[in-house]
Amino acid sequence: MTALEFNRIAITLDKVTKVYRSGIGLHRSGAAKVIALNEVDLAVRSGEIFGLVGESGSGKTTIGRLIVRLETPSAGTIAVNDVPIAQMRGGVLKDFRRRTQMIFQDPYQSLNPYLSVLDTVAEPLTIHKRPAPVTTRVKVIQTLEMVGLSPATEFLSSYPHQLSGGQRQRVAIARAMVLDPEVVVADEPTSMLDASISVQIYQILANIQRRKHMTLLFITHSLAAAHYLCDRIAVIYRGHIVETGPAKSIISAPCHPYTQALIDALPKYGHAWAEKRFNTLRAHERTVTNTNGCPFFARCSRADENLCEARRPELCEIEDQHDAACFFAEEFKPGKSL
Amino acid sequence: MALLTVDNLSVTYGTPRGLLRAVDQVSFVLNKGQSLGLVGESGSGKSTIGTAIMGLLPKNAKISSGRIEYNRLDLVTTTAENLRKVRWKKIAMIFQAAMNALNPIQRVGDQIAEAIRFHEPEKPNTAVHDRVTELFALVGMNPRRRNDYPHQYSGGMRQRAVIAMALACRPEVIIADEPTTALDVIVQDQILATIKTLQQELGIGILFISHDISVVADVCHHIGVMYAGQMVELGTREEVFNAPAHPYTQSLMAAHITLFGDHQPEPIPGQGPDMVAAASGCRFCERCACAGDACSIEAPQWRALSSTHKILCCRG
Repeated sequence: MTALEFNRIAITLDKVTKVYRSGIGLHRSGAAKVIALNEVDLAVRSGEIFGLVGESGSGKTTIGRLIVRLETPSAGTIAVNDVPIAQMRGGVLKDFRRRTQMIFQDPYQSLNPYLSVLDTVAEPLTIHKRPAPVTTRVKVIQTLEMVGLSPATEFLSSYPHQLSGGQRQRVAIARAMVLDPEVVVADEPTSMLDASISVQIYQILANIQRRKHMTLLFITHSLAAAHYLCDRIAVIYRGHIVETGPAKSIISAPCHPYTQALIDALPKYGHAWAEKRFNTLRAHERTVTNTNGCPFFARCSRADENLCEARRPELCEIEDQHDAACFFAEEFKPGKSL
Repeated sequence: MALLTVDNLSVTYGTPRGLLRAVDQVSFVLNKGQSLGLVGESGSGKSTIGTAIMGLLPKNAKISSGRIEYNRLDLVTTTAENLRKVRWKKIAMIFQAAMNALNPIQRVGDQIAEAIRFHEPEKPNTAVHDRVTELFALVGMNPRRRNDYPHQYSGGMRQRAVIAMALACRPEVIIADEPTTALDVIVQDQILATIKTLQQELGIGILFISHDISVVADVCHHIGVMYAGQMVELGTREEVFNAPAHPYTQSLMAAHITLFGDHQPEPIPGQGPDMVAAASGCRFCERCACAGDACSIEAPQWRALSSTHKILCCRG
């Protein structure tokens, strides 16, 4: 892959906002608004593994669902390979659906219990009437071998309930990969699995991504997993991207107080930094009246009462290709020593 | 001082395919004021041990051998009446899914009060009210939130409420079954800190069950590693975490993804054994890089590496 090709942007989010309404009462008077994403800008390069890290409710899954068009944004545009996806209709949309696939979190729910492994993985081929040079069955077997279900012929007639969690997730990955997609969104693919199985799944994803040069958006709550798998990372907090950059740089020199708090919170018995390094989390959350300030203001121990509550910091470059949305990012940038 | 002694405990589940040996001859001692972590993958039997101690095993489960001794009382053979006196009052449990452990249509404070009243019916109402206030403060929650319903709480607060409920009757032993698994890392860190503080201040013995060895190492004084129903390594946190001796513990540590250190995680090859089939040799031998010919035939024996550290392995 040439450098030029690598720098091409595969997924672009331009000021994407997503608002969910809940608690619809009579005349919608009781409807509560939840801003899941607030003017998010994001650029994922073609052929990279991009990690989206955040806690539950941060909006990371919403971004994934927007990109594969399971949801539509309330404002802003999303483009995949420079084509805005909102206007796609008919044949163009169907082709987009083939080229963009999603792997869901819970393999106990994402597989149809009535379909065998063969039927599950062959179904996308049937739907998209792929003019396969080989028969469907051979393509399914190749894909199953690729995800480590080997020998594949032994799994073809199995049903999901006969498989372990790790095997189910491999079937789910095979189903996404069988159409040779260009963009794959993996939404916490290992959160239901044991640590030892998770590593296998990551290695499978990384191998396929390298072989097929696909773009992989990896959604996770674990900084460690993102660091292990990803080229670049974006950290998302309550619907705002607060820090983005190369994975190594984010971990070795986190600039945003929220990223620093995430690293502080990891269990690290036996490590030289068993104590907290950054202490960016306040003991008690502030009550915030102005919602236009920094999203992390309520919990940030470093925040300036006047500045941070009044204005929302923009993402600014702190180091080469490493951006953070914090007024004090430069000031509290750690030395490189992880 | 031994608070809880589990001796040679075996638990089987009746399944359509035959008896599944979920827990096989597990022994350990939980001392007063200390915490023991049981770590292992799903299906290794760690939660079954917890439910066996609480006397809450499902109907198809059977304790086929062994003793669970608390205060010179064998919880396996004792009467239901005796067990009821011990359960929750002396040995309490923190469940994994905090949302399911709380009643959605009852105020949280009332639920905790109910737990106190059930076990101490003679206690006057004002004393119960004060105790609930005390418990809220103990787990780091504002007592004013007692009148809220569970859905008004965040995930971390629900877990705190469940911990408060476990502490309601001043137990001597708490069994914490994956108390932070569903939580975000920052909340997990806060809950673990709360558990550690309570353990030290109240001198409770904690049996901490988790699949995450770094979480266990963070909280526990001793670590027991479970594999396919057997305990395969037992030692202090320093011994097991810094110098793992059993090949399975080594593999488990190698598979662990961490931000710290330069190690490249390696998955454990192969699959766990069929727990229904009768196995004669070591249960880990098929996946073990160091296994010899004898490992698949001979049952492994405990081997002491120090006065506190031992492994169940044929090697060496």
